Amino acid sequence: MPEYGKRYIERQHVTAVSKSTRAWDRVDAQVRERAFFMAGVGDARRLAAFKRVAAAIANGEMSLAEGRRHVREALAASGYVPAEGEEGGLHDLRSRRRIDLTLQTNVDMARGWAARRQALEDITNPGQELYRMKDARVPRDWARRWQEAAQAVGMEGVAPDGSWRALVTSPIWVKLSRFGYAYPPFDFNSGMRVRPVSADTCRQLGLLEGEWMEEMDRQRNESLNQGMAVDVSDMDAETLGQLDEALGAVANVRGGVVEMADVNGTKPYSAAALGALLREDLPGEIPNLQRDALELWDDGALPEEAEPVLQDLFHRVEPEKAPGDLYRVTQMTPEEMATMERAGYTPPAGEQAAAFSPRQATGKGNVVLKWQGARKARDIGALLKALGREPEKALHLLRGARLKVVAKAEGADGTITYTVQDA
Amino acid sequence: MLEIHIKVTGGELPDIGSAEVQRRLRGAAAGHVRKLLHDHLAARPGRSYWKEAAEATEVEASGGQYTVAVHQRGVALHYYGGTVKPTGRISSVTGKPIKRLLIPFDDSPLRKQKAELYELGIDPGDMFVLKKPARAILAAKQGSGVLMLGVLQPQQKFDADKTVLPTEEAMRQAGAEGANEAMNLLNL
Repeated sequence: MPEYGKRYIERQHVTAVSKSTRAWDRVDAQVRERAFFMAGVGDARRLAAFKRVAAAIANGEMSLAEGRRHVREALAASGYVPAEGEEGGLHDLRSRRRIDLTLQTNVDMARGWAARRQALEDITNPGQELYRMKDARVPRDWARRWQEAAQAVGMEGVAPDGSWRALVTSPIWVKLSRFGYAYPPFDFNSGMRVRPVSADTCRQLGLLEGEWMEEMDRQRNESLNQGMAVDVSDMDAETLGQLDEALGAVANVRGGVVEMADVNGTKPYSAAALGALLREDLPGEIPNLQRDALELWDDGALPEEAEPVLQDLFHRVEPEKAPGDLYRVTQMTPEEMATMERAGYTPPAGEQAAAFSPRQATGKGNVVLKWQGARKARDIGALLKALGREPEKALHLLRGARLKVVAKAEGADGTITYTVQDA
Repeated sequence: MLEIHIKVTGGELPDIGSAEVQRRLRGAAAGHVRKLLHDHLAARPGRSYWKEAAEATEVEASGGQYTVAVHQRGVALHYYGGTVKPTGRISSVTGKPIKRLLIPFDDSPLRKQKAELYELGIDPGDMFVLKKPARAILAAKQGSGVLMLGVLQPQQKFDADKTVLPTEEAMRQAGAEGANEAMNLLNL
């Protein structure tokens, strides 16, 4: 089930650092994007309540009006009282203005990020156009902001005709954003959004040059925390200390650099290192989704909605070269064999990954697959071993990957052996 | 939140090429379905609800089907229909279990402000129920006049409205167009 939006918020770490909006603006955008924070709020419990409600609204489980009620109940239960003189204003966490701003901004960001993830998967619409979806009481000067942002990025990926169109991968979107994010909303309470621009139009605008498809892939494959090591050496010591404590086990602040461990993300690791990461306990409000999904899969109880989580985990295991040939015994109909001979082998529908054994396989089936010179195999078993399980020794071919058939031989017992190699 | 599955055939999403090609074809197909869905929802009448719903759409093409999701509260109720009844939760206004739904009038401040009753700040002592034939109306004293808030009902029935989404045929067609365009771009 697609739920990028909800996952955007769930992956953020509650960061109870009581700083003003201006101070948070000085924190690198990559750190802010991965943190669930509110200006002036240093109480993790209250932040967690806002985060829970924002995730529920982003997932369509709650309306904004219901969300306000839930937040106010949580604040009352936590004993929250606004500072004297701030009752009813923007600094009062119970005020409609503050709650709506917080929830709507976070929900809009989750939806904007989800839309961007999907846009990066669609090569037929590599561009997008900035447009007004909702009226604003006091519209901002977006014409000026667009022009300034376009010049700041040297017109990279930006339509040269002055229209508000650019490649999805253009750096203009980050430059346009008050928050430094590549997706809407681009400012607080903004009604500006983006809509797709076709490949034909982008070509006519002269935007499709070089490896534009590959750049879409590169930006699509990065999770929120992949490759994130941010220089925070110019942050004041007090904020750095608060950040280190708030980020807990999900990141390390060392030598002026914040390096995210990318829990539940896509950052690649060797099987051994990833197993160690899965084994770690996380701060209370962060579910270890990938570990849970792995255990359910091993138990044969993985629900459909957890499949994307499991696939994210499998794909972050760095592929390795197998020490020798790998084997898999399976049952195939003649039609399936014909399809495989034509199009290659791929794990059957419904299987998350196909296990290949390093030993000459025995077992039920009329087909033996001999995977020769495997370089795309992943050691999923190492992850299970790290969690204290005892999987059979195997390396896996992931769902969606393909092996080409290079040879076929029939044994005396009627078993057919296909030699396959990385495609 | 609304989620539906639309089966597709090999003709609409060709099973050709490497895993990478397959991924690109699926991404393009899903992208075209999402654009159709987004524009369809955004064009529905109303100030902002359906535009918000349009922004909350996600489409995935995998396993021989499109999974079409609209992550907006209430969309499933409009699509499938249903009967909404009070939950019985304790009212923030009266302190008692809620036994009737309050359906705001079109010009009620509840609808204009998109607020719940307790947010209007009306003193519960100023609220009263007008019992007209066939329906009960919640009202409140406001200065020298009366503010009509809405109708009190034990439940509200919504008829199914399949026009909330484009037809399955239209979505399949959009997906097929996306896949074809992608194949052209990939010179397949």
